[in-house]
Amino acid sequence: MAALSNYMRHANTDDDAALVASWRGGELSSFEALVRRHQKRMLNIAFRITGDYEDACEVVQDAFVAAYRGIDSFRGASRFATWLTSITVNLSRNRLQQLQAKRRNESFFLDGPAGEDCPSPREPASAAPSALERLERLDLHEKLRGCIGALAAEFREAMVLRDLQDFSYDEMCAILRVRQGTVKSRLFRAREMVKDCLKRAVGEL
Amino acid sequence: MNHAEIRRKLSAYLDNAVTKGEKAQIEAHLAQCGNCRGALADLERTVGHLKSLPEVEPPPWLADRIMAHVRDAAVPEPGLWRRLFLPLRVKLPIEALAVVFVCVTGYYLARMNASQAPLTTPIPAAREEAPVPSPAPVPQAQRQAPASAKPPSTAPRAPAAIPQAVPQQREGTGTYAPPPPKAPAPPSAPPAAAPTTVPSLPSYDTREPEERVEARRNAEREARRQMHDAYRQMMQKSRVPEEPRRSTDASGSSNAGAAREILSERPAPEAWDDRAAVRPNQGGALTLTRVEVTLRVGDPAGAVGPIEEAVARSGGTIVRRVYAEAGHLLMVRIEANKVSPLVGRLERIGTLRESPRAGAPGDGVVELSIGW
Repeated sequence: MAALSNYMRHANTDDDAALVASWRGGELSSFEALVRRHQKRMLNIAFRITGDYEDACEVVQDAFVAAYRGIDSFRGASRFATWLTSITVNLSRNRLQQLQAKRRNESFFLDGPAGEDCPSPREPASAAPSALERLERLDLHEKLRGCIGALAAEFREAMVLRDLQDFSYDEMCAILRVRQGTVKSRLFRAREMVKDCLKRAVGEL
Repeated sequence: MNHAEIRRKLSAYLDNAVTKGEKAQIEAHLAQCGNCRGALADLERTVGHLKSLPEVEPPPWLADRIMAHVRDAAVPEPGLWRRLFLPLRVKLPIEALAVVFVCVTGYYLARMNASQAPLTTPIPAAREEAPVPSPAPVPQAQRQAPASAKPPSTAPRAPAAIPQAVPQQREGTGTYAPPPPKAPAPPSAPPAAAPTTVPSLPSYDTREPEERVEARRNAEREARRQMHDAYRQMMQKSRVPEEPRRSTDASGSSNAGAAREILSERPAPEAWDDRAAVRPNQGGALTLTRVEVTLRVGDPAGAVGPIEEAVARSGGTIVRRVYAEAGHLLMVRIEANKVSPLVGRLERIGTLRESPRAGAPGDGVVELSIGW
């Protein structure tokens, strides 16, 4: 599934450039096409970084509005998806800091967020046939979410971009604005921490 | 690379993000180290679990909401002119009303402040007269000054103009204070210029008018007593001519009944006697006649300046000032033929309680006691 989505992303790269050019010419429908094409990916990035679906929806909305206003700063040196992801990661980081500050002052609800406008994320059931296996995976995914949520923001961003969204190291350098050695170091530490966390949570990996 | 370095490179090795040399070293180490092989396997499983995390679907309204925000952002913000005045039919009347309100409020504030101004500043009653050097004699024609040169209504000339709110002031209208006995004429020097020392005016009395008038009647008696005390002190000073200037506090207190006495720089007269009315001086040519004048003024503190100025313009010399909260007393030495112009000026400042009795008009020096 990841390979297929990766292929689709690269196939859409040229289309992105054409849509951006059309959007620069004043065609608002081109921007709408970009929104519909990238909203899911941006939402998943924001959701995995912030850990909150409702906040992720707002982050994505703000990211597209910021991209629309700041299109003049996009010079085309990188892909549009990379530039848009950079905006989304920055806004997600800011939102995460606000959430962490808020959680320090409020009690933490184990039930998780559930808003009127933003329903709970609908995680599609995988192709696993067994109900027991589905429950075990669901349990593993919940623990994995908890382990990702325990990471610091910089490690979380690196892991989300590489292991969940398949960005290359060069693209991660452009998105996070750090050197490749820093990306490798952050990714190694993030994977080690999640590995240890999962071992403590489920025993054998 | 040692074991720890190999372990740190395993993550990048998994992503095939190491150089060929590093890759060869790592694979050689993995062939020998079982722990590192186990760590690499755990890392692969962890990444596999991460990649198996399902993606969340965006809500169906997200794209529409984003586009709605984008369309709002695409509309340029109206200019300052549009924000201030459009729509004209709504904002223009409101702004016009606000301007009118501000103007009316400012006008009334200015009127209120202007009406309070005369209460806090002395009345320049005699300043409208032509400036005349103080020692120069004032012609009699100046007494018939035009009505426009009269002081404002706060110092009424006729008793009928006294405000009705202060009826107690009329009770003492017919009571004339007896003139002081004639004192012997001192060796009168020509009238010197008015002293340049201007006393600081006492603070305003904030009591009610009835209380103020009653207190003033009591204070008038106190002022007379202080006046006689002052005469006695003058007599003592005349025996000690080495002290040309002395300032004494009549009551010794700075608050109620406190009198402020300021002597002119001119040496005190040699002979002041409250018993003797007239006494010839060394040459025997001049006589000293004492005349008492009591004025009724609306603002005693504000009348200090105009009265002193009237004395100076009439050629009189102020020899003593007693300014107390209870009353004011001014001792003036003036030639007898200049008493009438001075009285005329005083009538413009306040209302005379009694007509002064001047002895031997046209000759000699008169010691005029002006109380108010």
